[in-house]
Amino acid sequence: MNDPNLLILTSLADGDKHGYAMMEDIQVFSGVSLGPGTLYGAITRLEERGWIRPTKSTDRRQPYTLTAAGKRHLSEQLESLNRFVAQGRLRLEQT
Amino acid sequence: MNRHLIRWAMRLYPSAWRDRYGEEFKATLDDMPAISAATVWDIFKEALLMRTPRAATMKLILIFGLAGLLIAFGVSSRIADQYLSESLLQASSLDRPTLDQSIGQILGRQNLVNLIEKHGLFAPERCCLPLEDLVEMTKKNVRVTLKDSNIAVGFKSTDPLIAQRVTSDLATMLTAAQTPGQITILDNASAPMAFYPNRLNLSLTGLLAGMLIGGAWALVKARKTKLAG
Repeated sequence: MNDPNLLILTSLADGDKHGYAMMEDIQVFSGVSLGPGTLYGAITRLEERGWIRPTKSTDRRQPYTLTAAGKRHLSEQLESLNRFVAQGRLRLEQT
Repeated sequence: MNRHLIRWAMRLYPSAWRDRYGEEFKATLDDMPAISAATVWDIFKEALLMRTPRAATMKLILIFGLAGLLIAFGVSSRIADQYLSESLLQASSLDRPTLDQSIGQILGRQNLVNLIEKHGLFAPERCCLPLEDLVEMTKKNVRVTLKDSNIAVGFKSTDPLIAQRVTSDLATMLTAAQTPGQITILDNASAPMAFYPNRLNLSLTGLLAGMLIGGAWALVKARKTKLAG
């Protein structure tokens, strides 16, 4: 699993984070090392789609939060992944 | 070194993106303990991706380009082929004013009327257009090029045979316009060659025009979406 969009949405699922915090969090929970370019490319797209939004900040570091639409999308994606994983396991057990 | 490269790579990002994300992006980079070559490449690669038209834009450009190509090809297919035949003459002992006079003579009204009648030029138009218009049209289809002592005379027509026959007559008339021997025919009326329309050029122009319109359409669409947002 190395889709930056999904990794960022998952990272924000347990609370707001700024860029570098997301990079570290993603590295810890998935083992994927997202580069800053890839991270901000994905942040741009996710914000355009209305799945994340910046929160108020006085710091140069800008935290982001998951929107209701973002939560819905993440939930759908995880559901789909669950079905995929279950199907894969089932087929492996049959062989 | 790598931080210097990053500053340079950041200039490749669209200015609107830099205005919106530049400061926090720099803050993220400042938080990173080390900047590796892989990080520099990642930043550079993303800048390139942001500059590449998105799939939807490419699709619009492709669809419009294809439509332009088909329309241009369709239109060019409906245009009748134009043929040109040419004859080369030599007038070594004549000065330019005398030569111009001879050319003016063969392009005179009576000569052109004779050509129209002899070769049945512009048959479909003869019913509805006055003779003067037909004479003008015939004149426009005559091509005379002077280079040193050589004269190339030719005629354009949708009928290849007529193009060749009229060219042959024009060459003969030009030799007869002066004392025998002063203008001689070097090459008789050449085999007619289709020179218009250039369907490949027209089709490619249509493709290019379509792609440009598609690109402009995508830009307008993107701006509208941004304004609505």
